[in-house]
Amino acid sequence: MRKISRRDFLKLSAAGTAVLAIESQLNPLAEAMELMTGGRSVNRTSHLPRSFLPSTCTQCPAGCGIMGYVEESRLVKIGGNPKHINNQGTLCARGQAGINALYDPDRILKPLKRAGGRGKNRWTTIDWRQAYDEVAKTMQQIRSNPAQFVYLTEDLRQDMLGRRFTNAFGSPNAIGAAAIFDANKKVATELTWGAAGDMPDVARTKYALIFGANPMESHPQFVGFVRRLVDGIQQNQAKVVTFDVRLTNTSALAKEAYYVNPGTYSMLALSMANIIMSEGLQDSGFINQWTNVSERDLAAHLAQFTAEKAEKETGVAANVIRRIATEFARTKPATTVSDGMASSHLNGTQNERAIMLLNVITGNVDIRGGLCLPRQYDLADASPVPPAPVASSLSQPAELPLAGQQSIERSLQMIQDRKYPVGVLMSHGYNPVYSNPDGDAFAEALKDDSLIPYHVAVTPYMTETAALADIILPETTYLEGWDIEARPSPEQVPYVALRQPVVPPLQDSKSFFDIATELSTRVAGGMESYFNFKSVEDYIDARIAGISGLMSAGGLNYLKQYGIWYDPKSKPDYGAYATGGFQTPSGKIEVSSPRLEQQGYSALPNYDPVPAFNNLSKDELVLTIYDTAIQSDAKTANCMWLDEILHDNPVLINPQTAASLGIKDGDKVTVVRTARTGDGVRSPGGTGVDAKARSVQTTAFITEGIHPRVVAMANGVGHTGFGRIAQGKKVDKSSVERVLRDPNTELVWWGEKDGTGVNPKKIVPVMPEPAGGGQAWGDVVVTVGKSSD
Amino acid sequence: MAKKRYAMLIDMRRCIGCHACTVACKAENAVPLEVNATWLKIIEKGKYPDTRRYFLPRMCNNCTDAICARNCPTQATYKRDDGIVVVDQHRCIGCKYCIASCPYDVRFINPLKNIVQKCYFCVHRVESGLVPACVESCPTRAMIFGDKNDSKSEIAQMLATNATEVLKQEMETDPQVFYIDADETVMSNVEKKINYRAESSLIKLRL
Amino acid sequence: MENSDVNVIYSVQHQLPLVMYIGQYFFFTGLSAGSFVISVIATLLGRKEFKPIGKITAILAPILLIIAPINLIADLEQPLRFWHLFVYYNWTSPITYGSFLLTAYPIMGIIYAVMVYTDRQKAAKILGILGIPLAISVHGYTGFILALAKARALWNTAAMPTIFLVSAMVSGIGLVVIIAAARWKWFDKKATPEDRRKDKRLILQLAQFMAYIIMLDLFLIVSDILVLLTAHSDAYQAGMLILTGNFAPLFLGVEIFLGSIVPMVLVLGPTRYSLRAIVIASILVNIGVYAMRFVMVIGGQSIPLS
Ligand SMILES: Nc1nc2c(c(=O)[nH]1)N[C@H]1C(S)=C(S)[C@@H](COP(=O)(O)OP(=O)(O)OC[C@H]3O[C@@H](n4cnc5c(=O)[nH]c(N)nc54)[C@H](O)[C@@H]3O)O[C@H]1N2
Ligand SMILES: Nc1nc2c(c(=O)[nH]1)N[C@H]1C(S)=C(S)[C@@H](COP(=O)(O)OP(=O)(O)OC[C@H]3O[C@@H](n4cnc5c(=O)[nH]c(N)nc54)[C@H](O)[C@@H]3O)O[C@H]1N2
Ligand code: SF4
Ligand code: SF4
Ligand code: SF4
Ligand code: SF4
Ligand code: SF4
Ligand SMILES: [Mo]
Repeated sequence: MRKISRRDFLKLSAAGTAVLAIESQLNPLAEAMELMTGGRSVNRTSHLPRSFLPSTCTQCPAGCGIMGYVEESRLVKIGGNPKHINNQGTLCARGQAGINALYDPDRILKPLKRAGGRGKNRWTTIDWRQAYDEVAKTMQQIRSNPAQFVYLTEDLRQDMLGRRFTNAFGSPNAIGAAAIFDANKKVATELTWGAAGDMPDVARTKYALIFGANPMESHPQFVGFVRRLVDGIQQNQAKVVTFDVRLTNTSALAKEAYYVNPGTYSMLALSMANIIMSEGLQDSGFINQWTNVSERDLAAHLAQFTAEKAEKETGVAANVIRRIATEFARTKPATTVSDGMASSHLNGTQNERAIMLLNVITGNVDIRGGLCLPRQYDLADASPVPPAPVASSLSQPAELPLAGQQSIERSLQMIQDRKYPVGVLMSHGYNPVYSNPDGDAFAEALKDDSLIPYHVAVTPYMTETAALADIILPETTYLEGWDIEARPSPEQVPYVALRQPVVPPLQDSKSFFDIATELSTRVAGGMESYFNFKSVEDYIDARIAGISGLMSAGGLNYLKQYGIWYDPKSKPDYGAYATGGFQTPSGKIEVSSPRLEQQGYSALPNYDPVPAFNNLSKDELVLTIYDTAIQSDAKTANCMWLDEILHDNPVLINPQTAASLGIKDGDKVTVVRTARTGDGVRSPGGTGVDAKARSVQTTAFITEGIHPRVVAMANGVGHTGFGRIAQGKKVDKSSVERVLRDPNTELVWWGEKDGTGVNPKKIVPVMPEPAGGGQAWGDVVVTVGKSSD
Repeated sequence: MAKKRYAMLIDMRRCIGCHACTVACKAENAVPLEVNATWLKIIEKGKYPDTRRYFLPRMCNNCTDAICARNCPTQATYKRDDGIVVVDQHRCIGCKYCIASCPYDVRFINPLKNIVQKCYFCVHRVESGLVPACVESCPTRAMIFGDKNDSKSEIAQMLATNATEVLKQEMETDPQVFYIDADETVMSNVEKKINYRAESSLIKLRL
Repeated sequence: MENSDVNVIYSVQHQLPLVMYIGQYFFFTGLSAGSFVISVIATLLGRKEFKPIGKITAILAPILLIIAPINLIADLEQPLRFWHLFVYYNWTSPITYGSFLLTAYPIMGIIYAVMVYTDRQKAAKILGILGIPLAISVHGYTGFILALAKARALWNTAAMPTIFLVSAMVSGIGLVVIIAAARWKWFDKKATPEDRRKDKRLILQLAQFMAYIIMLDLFLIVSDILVLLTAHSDAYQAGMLILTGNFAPLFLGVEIFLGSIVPMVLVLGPTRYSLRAIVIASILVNIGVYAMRFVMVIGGQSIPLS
């Protein structure tokens, strides 16, 4: 074998790079290979090429490009779209298992009308005409009071059509669930640099400090992000340091991984900032030109956060904090990665701002390899755009003026507490009974028709929430519908992608576009004029009309062929703020936030300890609910290939803790929320902070890989609805509609053997963080004991 | 040009333990529930706070000296010229002797078809000029597949420039799945104090 | 990280490919081979008093060997394709020689039995001598099946074919003793008292022979285990599995204690002249050998390989 010299190797690499239009650190050889071979598939027996259509995955918020491979109008495989800028032909487990969701044996394929009391699970099949008539009729009944129409959806940013429908009806109450997770982060970033969110440029960085995020298992840009992070580590020799409460897949590839006391990120970050400033390692030029604070004031504020104090609070040794802080400041470029969990505490907004500060004072803002502004096309709604109705107390909480967005857990609580009258509730692809804190309480509300007189569920599946509907409109899955997607780009180059049906809607299911159009025509009263499109393609066309580059490349036809468009000449426009400034009132990075100050919070990033964690007794532990690479929240539990891998969620306990509690591996245990949970929560409703369910039962999994004061359970399992697969039951083929049949459903084995876990979110009370309004998922205090039975 | 010799290289410096490869294989090869042609082994080592997690994607090694093929009484399992070990599904009688013989536990009885199967490096894709499904899906490009006798191939270059290991060298099967930087514990079950929690019920009697 | 704990947090469950059908198959071939050898010895010695035993065993051997492969075929996932074994044979596979041996041996056995029953002494002797290596191969190859499955530490030993042969002799003699005793008790009433005494002595002798073979068997097993415990780690785990693990009760309790020690004591101890004790010993011996097949086949596969 000819030995390849390093020079040859580099030459080969250089040749590979030319294939890419976009500058990238990606391994060029592999890249060339993927581009040559990816995006095709052959039949296993005949070796004949399969036909395909590009589309977009929505199994999680990352929005990877997929290829749907079809044989005889059946989807046979989901592969990656090699042209997609995020995932470049690769896919995660969930993306590939989407086919299980399409052919879920318990998918609803015909409209259903409740035949017994709500939640009694008795249904009659009706035809679409009757379904439309009934829904339209009840909507018309509240026509004079349209704000009584409440529309709940998973993520409003991805459900433009839902907002359009609600606005067209005249209701302000299109409420998205995404806020439940990242509201605090969105608020913190918005206040600080005028853009919601961030995008660490991990492919090009030299140093990544990860706070309470776990990108190797879950991240809003999962595939697109991790492949770049790993490239950063391998190609760029980036050093990765993580701070988490448990051992994660991310720590497997990190140079250093530290356990940290829960809820103490801001202390950690601020003490690092203090060290950087006091050692003079800051980027004074950047601070002076681009922030609204003076170095002196900032240094003076930070002085209180000494490494010693931080050691006491965070559990991370002072010398480690010092070393990491100086390494971070001295390595250029560097970035932080912080995600949902950093902001999912009652001090979430401050946590996020403190972490951002590290990038700000070291001048790592929106530079190559630094913490970048999110880059994405801002897609306008298609004209004519329905006017936005005046906000309601449900849609724009007065007590959360900073949020500028919603707080769904709070909205649901207002409904439960009769603080806001509902006429018609429409839940669309959203399962709050399972996903929200205190889901049992919302389930109660849904059962009460004096609270919610009419509940329309638009969903392909009988979820825990849909089971409490009056009428179910069987929507198509993401693989059978249209939409336009523009999400933050981990490549730092904005793009527009298409979701198009890879197979036609199964049986009688209909896309939300068709449902919204048909309903608005029947409800009428002016509403229909906003749904006057010749076809869904017409509507999509209208939405991309403003993107001239795409239009000249061929518009919708281009997207239908390639699935994605981005400006082929565009390179990441780092530092674009230099011309127009930041989108904050001052045009600068508001390290000191007057808007926060106005609301009575510290203007400068600060450390407010989580009240519930103050002086925990010996047996009080903090519950962390974490995402895994296998399941996405409530969305993927009906995918058997995923459930086979992850179907239960024992509670992770450190051996020391377990020993002091007398718990052994495999013991049945009860996790009980203590009264301390919710300390310091300003409850907007009236119910206070007491979730209906107080405890869950599971088994103990003793592992060294968790902080002794923390116990953790995986998210995404423990369904009590959502069909038989999600509940680990075998499905007899003959009980299934022909189009949905798959002999594998008879082989489901885990339900009998291991069970399907429990949903720990139901013991979490509603706890909106006061500034951002996001749920403080991380602030649950529990005790764990052996179950008596 | 030298005879083709297909091989797989898994770079554990890149693997994030995401299971995309596992599911890719199920999707590509219609591998039923209950069984796996490729899967991930994950272990944790160390004492708090010095803990670490290690991964190991596992699949048939398409061994040069394949015991399974040697022991198959019907030549249903055989080695192709390009080194890929395949099972002729029409010839296999399901005696399962190959499963018992393979030192790597990578073969299985397909419960829907009642024949023995395993990873065969996605022969149907490779012959059509594609890379195997698991390789294509791997989000971090931890897997590299190719003809190691072709010095221009990526795998040949990686093999030439990196230290690699194979599973159970002592079995002298000459495995063709190579690993870079795999942890030694996850590669074997040498540790006496292994907690077989995940495998406590791994014996599945098919009586 | 010295003395680190290892937590396997994810792996998949593996199928147990060979189930008890295979153990049963091994058991029946063993019985068959054992009976055949006894029969041939009886024929060769040519003594009149051996004749009945020679006859019983001559008929037993092929019958048992027709039962045996039924187990084998039942174990196939594709039983209707069993003919592939002959058409697509593979000479590096022990199953291939097994298929041919399994065909040749019962045919030979039937012809031999015909010779024995029609009292064609010379032909029977020649066939018997030719048949012994065949019988040994038929059973010895089953040991090779296990030994050549390199993956399994419990099986992968050169002693395996010998262990299998020896235990086959043990169980074969046990079966013959049981049948001969039953014949003596119920069907041999017409014989002269002298013949009956001779017959009984013969049975006692057979039983003693069995006890000596048990000793040989025990020796082989003990040496095998000693090697397992001192070899590589998989082998150590295999050794511990049968000594202290899940299979210890079957191995130590049934195979060794009930199946070897107790019968030896019954046959060589104070009860050595009691036909009843000897029959009990023979039954126990067969239970022990059956347990041994189970421990070997199932236990051998129950150590995770990955
Ligand atoms: N403790 C704790 N709780 C959490 C989290 C946490 O980390 N910890 N995560 C939070 C986060 S980040 C989020 S975003 C929320 C998510 O909460 P949700 O938005 O409720 O959950 P999703 O997983 O997004 O799935 C919503 C529903 O979409 C439906 N669905 C799936 N595919 C389709 C389709 O093709 N079409 C339609 N119409 N419907 C479909 C499914 O029925 C599923 O029930 O959960 C939050 N809950
Ligand atoms: N594979 C996968 N990818 C996903 C999702 C999924 O469910 N699965 N969901 C998608 C969605 S909707 C979202 S919003 C994102 C969420 O993505 P992430 O924000 O990464 O969410 P988590 O995994 O819930 O939390 C990250 C880590 O925070 C740790 N943690 C929890 N509490 C604390 C604490 O107090 N201190 C510290 N230091 N660490 C803590 C947890 O152990 C966990 O490892 O991921 C998206 N991508
Ligand atoms: S990361 Fe996975 S689930 Fe999320 S969009 Fe991409 S392929 Fe789909
Ligand atoms: S790994 Fe096992 S099944 Fe694969 S070729 Fe080697 S011996 Fe055969
Ligand atoms: S099960 Fe099939 S492939 Fe395996 S040894 Fe038997 S005949 Fe060969
Ligand atoms: S190469 Fe193909 S058959 Fe083998 S593990 Fe990968 S996907 Fe499965
Ligand atoms: S797909 Fe790649 S990164 Fe994921 S587990 Fe498999 S080899 Fe590792
Ligand atoms: Mo989320």
